[in-house]
Amino acid sequence: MTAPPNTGARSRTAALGAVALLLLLVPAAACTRLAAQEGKHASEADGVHFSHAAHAKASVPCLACHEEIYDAKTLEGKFLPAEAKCLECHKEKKAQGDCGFCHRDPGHPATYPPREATLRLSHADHIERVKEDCARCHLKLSELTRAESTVPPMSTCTGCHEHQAELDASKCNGCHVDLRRFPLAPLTMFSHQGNFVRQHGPAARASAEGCAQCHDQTFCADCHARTVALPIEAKFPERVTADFIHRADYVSRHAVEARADSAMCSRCHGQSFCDSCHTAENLTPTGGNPRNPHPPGFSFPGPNSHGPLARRDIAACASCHDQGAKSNCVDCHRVGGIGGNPHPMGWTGKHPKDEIDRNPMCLTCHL
Amino acid sequence: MSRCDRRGRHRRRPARLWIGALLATGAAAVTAAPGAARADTIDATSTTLVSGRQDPRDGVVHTTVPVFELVSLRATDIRLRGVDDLNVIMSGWGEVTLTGTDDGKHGFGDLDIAYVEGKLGKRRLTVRLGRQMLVAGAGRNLAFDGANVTLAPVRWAGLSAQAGVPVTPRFAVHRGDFMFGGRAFFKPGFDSEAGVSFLQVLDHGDIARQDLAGDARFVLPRLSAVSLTGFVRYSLYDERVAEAQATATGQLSSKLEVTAGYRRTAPDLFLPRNSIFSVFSQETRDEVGAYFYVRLCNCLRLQGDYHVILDEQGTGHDASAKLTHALFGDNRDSVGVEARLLVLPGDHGYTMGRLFALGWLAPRVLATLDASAFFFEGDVNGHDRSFNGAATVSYDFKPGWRAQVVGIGSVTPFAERRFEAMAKLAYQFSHQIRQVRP
Repeated sequence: MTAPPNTGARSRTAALGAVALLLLLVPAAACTRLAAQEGKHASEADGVHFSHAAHAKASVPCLACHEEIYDAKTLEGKFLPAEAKCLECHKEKKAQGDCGFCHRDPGHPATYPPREATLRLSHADHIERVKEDCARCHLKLSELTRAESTVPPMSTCTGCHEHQAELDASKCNGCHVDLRRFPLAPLTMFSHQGNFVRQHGPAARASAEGCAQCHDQTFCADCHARTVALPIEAKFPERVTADFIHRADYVSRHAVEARADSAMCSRCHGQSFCDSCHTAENLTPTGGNPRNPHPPGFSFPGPNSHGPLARRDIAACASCHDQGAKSNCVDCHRVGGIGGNPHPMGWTGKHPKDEIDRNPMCLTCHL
Repeated sequence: MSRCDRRGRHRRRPARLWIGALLATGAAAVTAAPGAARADTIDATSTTLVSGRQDPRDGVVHTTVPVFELVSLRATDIRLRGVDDLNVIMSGWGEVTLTGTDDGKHGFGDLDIAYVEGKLGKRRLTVRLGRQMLVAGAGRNLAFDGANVTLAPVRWAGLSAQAGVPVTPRFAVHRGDFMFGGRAFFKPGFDSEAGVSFLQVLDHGDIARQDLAGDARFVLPRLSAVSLTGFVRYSLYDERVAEAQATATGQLSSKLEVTAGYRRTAPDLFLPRNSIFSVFSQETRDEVGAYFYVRLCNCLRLQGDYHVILDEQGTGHDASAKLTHALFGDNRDSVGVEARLLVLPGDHGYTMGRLFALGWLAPRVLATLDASAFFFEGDVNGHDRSFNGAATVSYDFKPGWRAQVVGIGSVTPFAERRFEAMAKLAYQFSHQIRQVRP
């Protein structure tokens, strides 16, 4: 199979049109669907009809259903009762085939979705101290007529626990596993919404301690480690919603990205990183049958000359050609060479001639 | 002989592995020794990846089968007399390529991070020893083997100092054999901080980096939805600004966040000062633009970004948009569409369109789809487009365990057809006995 020929402008217009159409259609379809969902007041996913208030009124003790919570030292685990527990009192409903008594979507009954623990909390330590009165923390439990969150607000915790010192020290991870679950709140400091990948750098430079409350350096190392085994896109291919830098066919577009921001590449990749692939592709003189990747006339003065490109993006040149004194620039640009003086305008004003004797690198050309 | 010659001879420094290995062994000993110390929280992960892919090199398609083992360990709040908040953090990896290597080497491995950290003197002195990254200030995420000490005698100000040996990036020449630096910081509030930092990297006694930097992050006290961040890095060696950045982020409502920013870089100042290429250029590149993120409704999130790029050759544009639709209202399942237009001076750039979807087929089965197309402004290897598709299926078969298979197919300028398959087995172990004591 051969890749299709170049029909650039038409393809780009078609692609942009398709994307624009999707940008219009998807929100419209989604909002229509959401309105329909809200209209019938139920999610398509199964859930349970449950009233804490009704059970409290019937004097059902909390631990009758949530027995496991009594010994729970963490929030890892399943603390919602299984169907068998409900059937201890409501088995006649199932016998009558009245699945809708509990299930919102009896046609597609499902178990509870898995939940991620976001707090470090020991119910076991609390229950005895509050004399099994769960309502000491879960204040609104007896008022809840629908199955909804029973997590108490943070003010309930701080009603007993003094945490000012931890707050001042930005040390939240004593209780919070992480703060990613808080959408756009607390504002400004911990919001990780949108393209946080793009924004996290400036924030981290002046708030590294704040980041460290939830993320140790192994988290940073997933992307930034100098010794990394493989890119994060390959490590976590299932994270399709994340904003990764090297996603999909990065090899084909890496030259364009490097042209857009070569300093960005230089943060992580050194010269040999480029060289290892370029040599394998026979794009360097060290390859067995070298192909010249540069346009005709690149080495000489003219419209395709390398000079202006090198001035603008010297890091790109260095990505392949930095072999110290053996770099091919030295042959032409050394003092007396045919390439002439390569230093930029104003160079001699900042670098007096006596620097040549002090800086061995200068002696590469200034023999 | 010039230092350039000397630099060229140094490739990888696998010998440094033993430093990290020693640290990791020490960390394991600290956490394992009965009665000596006990970690309140231990998180460990292990991921095994087996990949089979077609690797086109020099017109020939090679099939490579690398096997990766990635491990990480976090033992935090270890109790040790006289030391508070003692943590041991480590992550590392090993790779064995079964077939199709391009250089005849079959095994690699290294430590990404391996350090021990603790606080002394009523938490006024923080000491971190081992392989770590320098994130704050002039550090630019420099990885090094060494020590980082932070002294904060008062809550609102402090000093930090670092010294060690820079870690050689994988596939790269080493960037120096000694580094040292420091940062003074002022922290007026919980969410604001400003600092001045210095970093010098030496390579065989010659200066490879010598930077002075200032950084700041402030949340406006009377406008708490607006935060300002700024950073400037100045090369003392070249007496020029290497990098400057200013960003303002405002959360105009609970559903809308807007960011505006400016950034200037001098690409040549990202090269080591003892590189022969550091004498050829003094150009700068500027980027200015804005970004927004909005929750249109409970299920729809839209983000957009536009930046103008200015350099010596002209003006470029970088625009992107991404729309994510959360299904079923719980943010666990979603579909989305993304587009990007990158236009650079001199007829370079590309247009990208992407579709992605993530859904839980069953409570323990996650499936994802990802398809993207790129249309290049100029030819890349004689072609102007690239198509890529990837699908994953993950099964959380036991608590903490995940098995995953991945299939990737692509048609690119460098490969008429390319297929890749990957199997992944991940295990995440977490042991937490830290309690909030009433």
